[in-house]
Amino acid sequence: MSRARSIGSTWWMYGLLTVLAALWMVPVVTVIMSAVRPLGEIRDGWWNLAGATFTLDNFFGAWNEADLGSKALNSLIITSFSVVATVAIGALASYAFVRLRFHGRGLIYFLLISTMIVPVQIILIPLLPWFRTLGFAEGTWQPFMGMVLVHAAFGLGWAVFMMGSFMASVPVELTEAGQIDGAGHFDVFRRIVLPLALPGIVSFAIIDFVFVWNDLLLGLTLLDADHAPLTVGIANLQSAHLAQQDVISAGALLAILPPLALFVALNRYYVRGLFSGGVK
Amino acid sequence: MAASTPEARSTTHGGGWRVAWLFVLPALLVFALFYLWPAINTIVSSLFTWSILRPWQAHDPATWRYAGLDNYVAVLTEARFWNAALNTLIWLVVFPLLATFLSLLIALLIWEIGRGARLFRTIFVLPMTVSLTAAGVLWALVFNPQFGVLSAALGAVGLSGAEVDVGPLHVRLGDWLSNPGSLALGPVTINLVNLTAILPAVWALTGFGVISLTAGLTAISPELIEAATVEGAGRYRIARDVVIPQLRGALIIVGVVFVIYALRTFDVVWVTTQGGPGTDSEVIAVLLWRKALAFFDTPAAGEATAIAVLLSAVMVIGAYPYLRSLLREAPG
Amino acid sequence: MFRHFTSRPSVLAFAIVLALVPAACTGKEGSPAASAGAGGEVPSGSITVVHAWAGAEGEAFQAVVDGFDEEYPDVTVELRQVPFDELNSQMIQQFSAGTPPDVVSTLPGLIHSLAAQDLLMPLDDLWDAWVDSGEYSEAFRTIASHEGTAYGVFFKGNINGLIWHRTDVMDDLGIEPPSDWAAFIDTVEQVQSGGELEPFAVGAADVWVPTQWSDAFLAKVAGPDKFNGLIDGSVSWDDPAVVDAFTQLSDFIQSYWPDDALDIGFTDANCAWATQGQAAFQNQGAFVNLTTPANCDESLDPENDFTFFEMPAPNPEFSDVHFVSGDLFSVAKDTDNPAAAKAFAAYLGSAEAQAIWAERGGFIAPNASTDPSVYPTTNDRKAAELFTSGTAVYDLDDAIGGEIQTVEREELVNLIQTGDVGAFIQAMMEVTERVRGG
Repeated sequence: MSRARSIGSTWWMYGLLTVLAALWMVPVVTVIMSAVRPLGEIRDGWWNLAGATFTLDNFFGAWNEADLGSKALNSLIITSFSVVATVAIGALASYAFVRLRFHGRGLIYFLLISTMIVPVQIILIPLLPWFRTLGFAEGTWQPFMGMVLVHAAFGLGWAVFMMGSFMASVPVELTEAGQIDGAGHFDVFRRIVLPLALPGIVSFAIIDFVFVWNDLLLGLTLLDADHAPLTVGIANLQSAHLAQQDVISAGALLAILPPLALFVALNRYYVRGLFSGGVK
Repeated sequence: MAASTPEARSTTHGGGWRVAWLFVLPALLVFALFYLWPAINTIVSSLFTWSILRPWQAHDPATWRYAGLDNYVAVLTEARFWNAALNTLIWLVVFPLLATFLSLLIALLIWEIGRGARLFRTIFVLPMTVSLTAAGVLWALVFNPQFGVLSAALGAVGLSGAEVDVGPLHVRLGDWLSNPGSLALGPVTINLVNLTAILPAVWALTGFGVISLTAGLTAISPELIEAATVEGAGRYRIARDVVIPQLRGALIIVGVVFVIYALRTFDVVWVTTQGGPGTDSEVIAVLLWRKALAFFDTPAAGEATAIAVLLSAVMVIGAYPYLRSLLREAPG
Repeated sequence: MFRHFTSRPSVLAFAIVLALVPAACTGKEGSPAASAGAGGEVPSGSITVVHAWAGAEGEAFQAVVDGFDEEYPDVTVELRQVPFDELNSQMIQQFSAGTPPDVVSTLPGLIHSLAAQDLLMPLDDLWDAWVDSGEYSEAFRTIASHEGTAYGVFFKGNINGLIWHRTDVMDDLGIEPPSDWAAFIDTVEQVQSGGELEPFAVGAADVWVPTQWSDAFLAKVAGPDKFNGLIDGSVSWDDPAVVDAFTQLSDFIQSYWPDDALDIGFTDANCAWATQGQAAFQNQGAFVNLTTPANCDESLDPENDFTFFEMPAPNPEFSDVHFVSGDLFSVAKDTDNPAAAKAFAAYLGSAEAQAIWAERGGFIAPNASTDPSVYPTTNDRKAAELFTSGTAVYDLDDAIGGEIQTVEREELVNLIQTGDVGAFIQAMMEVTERVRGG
């Protein structure tokens, strides 16, 4: 795909790209160096390598004292269940939109797709009293449950859009053949459409994972300290204006790693998902 | 690589609407309870006076203090709202332009060079997975006036704390997140701290543009470029006259996604400046949050919902053509 | 196009993520359920307490809580720390959600807002006993009250407007603690003309820091009547004495504040004068005695290495006016464990609890029966004496709270940047009209 089209001088392109790439790496290098060195050394400049000591203490500090460990667990719970829930109900709905005709189809589809554009603020404020009314404000698992359902509702537009387009590319002949064999729609969905649309579903799952994992606003507004996600924990550390750049850096790295790992492991799907969502 | 455009072919064999509704029902229930109802609630409750400590409740008429359009009037006549609107406007102009320009530049450069393309692309795309909260934290380290690399670099060239005045532009080097200066344009003053807050978002989201435009570039047929080369067009002219016009669709989508992000931006501002200093970088989303949750002695939650409605209306009207194109391409 | 992996490890990775979830859930369920204990019984069960102290102050508060644990072994106290600037909004969010903590650190402004919505437990019986026994004066009770009912206990006192400095810096410069405003200005200018040090370190990235200055100027230029009048609304922000105070403050800022004031936080400002040799002074509260060694250098010795003098009054008429503040605690009315929560509040108001932190320094015990010998350094003793001498005014924005507090903090930042006193007064008039008018 990339090609050196002409033999002419491309050195300035490499030069420009290298400068840009170096700029792009500055925050990454900064956070890594700040996370593995003691605060005193960071304050003298992390690039100052004379007599440098490297330590993992900041990660333990972030995990235990700053309580980011439990926040990471909260993020994992919220994100995993949200992705599973969104994929499950979204895949069922996508099948209906792609293969079935029913009353209200156009309107429902329009509403779902609108959520891709309408900002989350349109639902944010009433959710706080609404959680209380529904009993999701308090308890061990109830706030997680409420949060998962909100993320599911908010992610449905993308779910139906992306998974729907993959399901639509399953040849109609295949599904019709299944039905001629006497299989019901659910069997066709499970045995034929789902396996064939799996790459698209995985793409969506990754994008949804990254989206939910990175949410700050909903977590900040709706969840108490026992259920708050990692992003809220980090934002709180940051807004305290304390001299704890060491711990904050380690915490930020902890927050970056899971989606990054998922990206590296599954990036083929991730990129495909973005293409289908973005570029046609 | 793009998924094929879904076809609007539907079959109803062996089912009928009952089956269809069984498939849609779970999604519909979740959507109705956790999106549609809160959204309607936002719109209706924006016509009432209430505070988050004593919220407007549809089922409890004791909480209904009808205000008509008072919340909208209050919001639209408040200087603080227009300050936030101006800052959001700065985001709306600067962020999409800068991020789209960089995306295009980087995508074209990577496309042109052969060796090393994958490495470069990875560097620019990886920040996409970083939450904007974390991106804000990372950049706050870079911007730190005492031990950030930016201030150190300035110090090394002897520009630490330098002040530059060019006409209406006043720049202070060093105090990136607190007081980097301003640009006075007649009655409005643009606070440069907004630009500092925009940079982390550009850093994090340019990767999306690079991926999307790369996809668009791979779809350009090599014959077009060969034809231009044969005609003797140079690299710059080919980029301008052949490649970029072919990327029009991809560029529009990238731009629209960036605009949508800019209008609702919250995370980066919250983490880097919290809207400060003062209200210099307060954007609409931050003001809305404050009105709902910080100004609790005044029952300003109604005003917060009014802002949410205004914000959504602007977004839907502005992005309507995009919404329509989404609907057109979608199955159905 | 990017790195290609075979699908097997990828699916595996995803499966592991999902498999972790049930395990994570069961881990979460171990927390003990709060059990409501009726009044009169020995308190038991657990309570959640929200406070805003981090670092060394957080450790000191933990020690206070440990003392409670010893006295009430059947009660489990779960501490939660939130950033000071976020305390109000996070508490509003949790009270709105119907999930308030059992006991929460409050300031008078927050007490007014929450009590007005009937969300706090009245604590008058505690105060009746304290006032009878002389442990507290009625003045403290008034600060902790909303419309005549007490909803908070006073835990930590503080005196502000103290000019902190290293002792050796003063020796090197050959200057004595100034006795009046003119001498203070001379001292500041001497530092400034020396050129090596900024006169002041100011951590105004924390939005509460500029109010440490504005309240000091208000108290010592406009005086206590105007100060308290702004709080209760009987004095307008465009009162000439108020305008004069802010004009003097603004001139002072433009002349003597460092350029990076808005860029660094409270903690960094501590170190800027204490260990980094960047500034001579910091105008801050008595708590600096604890936070500075903890934040900057554990080996710093309060009183030998650093000390303070009180900022002189620009208006000599008010040289005996002190600007104090304090941290209160309130009990949520809907607490699941009223007995334990109230026992905890009573404990925090006791001399016994306050002595635990006082021994660590940077703390003034508001309970009058606290033994002065518990204060570890001369600095702490001096601060405690000032706290109860002369006329005290209580922190203006903490007392008002809500939107006016937020706007005052923001407008002070504008004042720092522009020096436009008229715009500041105008903005304060407008927000006061919004909140209190109509």
